[in-house]
Amino acid sequence: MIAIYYLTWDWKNMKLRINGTEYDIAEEPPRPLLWVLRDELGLTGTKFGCGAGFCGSCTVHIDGEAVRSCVTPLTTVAGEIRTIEGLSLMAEDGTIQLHPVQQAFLEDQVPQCSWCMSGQMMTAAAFLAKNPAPTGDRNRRSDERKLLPLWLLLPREKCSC
Amino acid sequence: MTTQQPPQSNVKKWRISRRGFLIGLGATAAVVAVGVPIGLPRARLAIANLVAEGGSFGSIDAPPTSWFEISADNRIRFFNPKVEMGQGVNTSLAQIAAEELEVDWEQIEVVSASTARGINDSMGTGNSTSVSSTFTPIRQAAATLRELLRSEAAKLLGVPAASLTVASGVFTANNDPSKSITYGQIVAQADVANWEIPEEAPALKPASEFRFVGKSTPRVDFESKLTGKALYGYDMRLPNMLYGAVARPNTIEGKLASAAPAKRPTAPAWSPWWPKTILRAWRPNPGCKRTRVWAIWIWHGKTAVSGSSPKLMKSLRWATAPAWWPKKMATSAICWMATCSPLNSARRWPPTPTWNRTPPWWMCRPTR
Ligand code: FES
Repeated sequence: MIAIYYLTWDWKNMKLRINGTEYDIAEEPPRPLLWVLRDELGLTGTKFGCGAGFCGSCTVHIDGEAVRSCVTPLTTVAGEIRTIEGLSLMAEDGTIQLHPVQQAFLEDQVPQCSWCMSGQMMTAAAFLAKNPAPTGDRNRRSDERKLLPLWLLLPREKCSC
Repeated sequence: MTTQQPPQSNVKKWRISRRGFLIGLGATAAVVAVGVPIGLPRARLAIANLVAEGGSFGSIDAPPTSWFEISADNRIRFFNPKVEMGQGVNTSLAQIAAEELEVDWEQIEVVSASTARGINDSMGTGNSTSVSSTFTPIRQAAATLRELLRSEAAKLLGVPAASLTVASGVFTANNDPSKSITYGQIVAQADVANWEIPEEAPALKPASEFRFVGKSTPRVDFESKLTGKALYGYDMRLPNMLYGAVARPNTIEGKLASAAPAKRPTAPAWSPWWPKTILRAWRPNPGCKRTRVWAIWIWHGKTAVSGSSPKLMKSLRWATAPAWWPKKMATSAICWMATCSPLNSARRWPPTPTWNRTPPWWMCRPTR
C-alpha cells in the first residue's frame, strides 16, 4: 500500500473551483495558491506584493473568507475560490455589473496605481458580506454607501503608492 | 503557463511630414495613425525634415514617440510615451488628446508606446513634467489628425470641409444633418497613402472651450483595473520568457569580485522510499523552472567610506561583513539571472508601479 502511495502521489491532481469554473491542478510541487492563479491559470488580477502575508495585494476569497493567497499552500485549499475577476457579474447582455465595493471604488476614484487594489476590494467585499452595516465613530458614510471605512481597511492593506 | 501580450500597434509603415508628424498606415487592418516625435533630439528632427522632402510610406519603419490610431469601430487608441505608475498620466494625456480629437471619453483607450527605436522621449517620465512637456505637441497632433479626417470626410460626403461640425468622433454637415460620417468609417474607406498633411498647424481650441482639460475626469484605465483585467509589466507572460534581477552589493562601494553561473538545485533522483516530507523539502520551487541559470555573485566589500559621518556608518553597520569573514567573500548575494552577460533591450511595458516595495519589473525584448 505504502509503495503504491509513493509511486502515485507525484501525479495527483486536485480540483479547484475558481469563479464558478473547475480546474484540474497538479498537486505537486508544493506552491502557494497565488502562483497557481497567476502563473498557471493566468488570473493576473490577483497581485503579488510582498509574498509574505503582509500587504494584502493577493487577497482572494475561499468560501467567502478573505485569504492571503501568497501564504496559502495550494494543498490546503478546500472550497470555492473567488478572485477579483469573479467579483463582478456578467449580465446576460454582456455588460459588467460591478460589485457594490467596486462601484464605490469607481465612484470615489480610490486608488493611484491600483496594484494592491484588488486585494483591498476583496477584503472589503468579504468584510461587508459578514457585516452588511458596519458602524463606527468615524464611519460616517456607511449608512448611505455601505462603503467599508478606509480606516478599518487600510491598517491591514499596505499601499506603497 | 498562460501567455499575455501587451497591445501592439497595427501600424506598419510611417510617412513623415515637413512639420515632423508621422502618418501611419495599417498593413492589414483599416487603421490610420498620426504620431508626434515628442522630445526628438534636434539632430533627428533635422534628419526627419530631410526625409520629408521625398517622404513616402516606408521611409520610416519604427513608430514615433507617441501616436493615435483610429480603428474602423470609431475608437481611438492613444500610444502614450510616458510611464503610468499611478500618477494618472494615462488619464491626463488622454484628456488633452480627447479635447482636440473631439471624441467622447469612452472612445479613448490608452496603452504604452513601445521604445523599439530607442528612448525617443529624452525627457523621460518624472519631475512632474509629463503634462507640461507634452501639452502642446499632443494637442497639435490630435488637431492635425482631426483636420486630416475632416478633409477626407468632406471628400466622401461631397460637402465643403468648412461646413462640417464634429462631435463624438462624427462629422455632420451643417446644412444637412443626414450627411454624417464617423472617424472609423472614414478610415475604413480612405486612401491614406494620398492624404495631404496640412502644412500649417490647425488652430488649437481656446481654454474657454475645454471639455476635459482642467475638469475632473474618471481615470481612463480604471474600469479594467477594477475588474482585474489591466495588465501590468509584472503580469506579462511571453513564450520562453527569461527572468532577470539586478544584484546589488550590500556593502558600501562594493565591487564585483566574481560572478559564476551555478546549477539550479534540483530534486534528487526519485526515491519512493523517502518520506514525503523530505522529498518535498528537496523539490525546487516552481518559480525556478523558468530560470535558466542561477548566478552566485560575490562582492568584495568595503566597510569604510571616507568622509561619511559616524552616524551614517552606524546605521549601515548591519550591512557590513564581520571582520573574520574571508576578504573576497565579504558578502554574497544569490540572485536568479537570465544571463551573466549584459543585455540590450527595448522596453515593452512599464514596470509595476510598486517601486518602493518591490524592485522595478520591466518587460523587455533583448535586442542582441
Ligand atoms: S502578496 Fe500576499 S500579502 Fe503581500
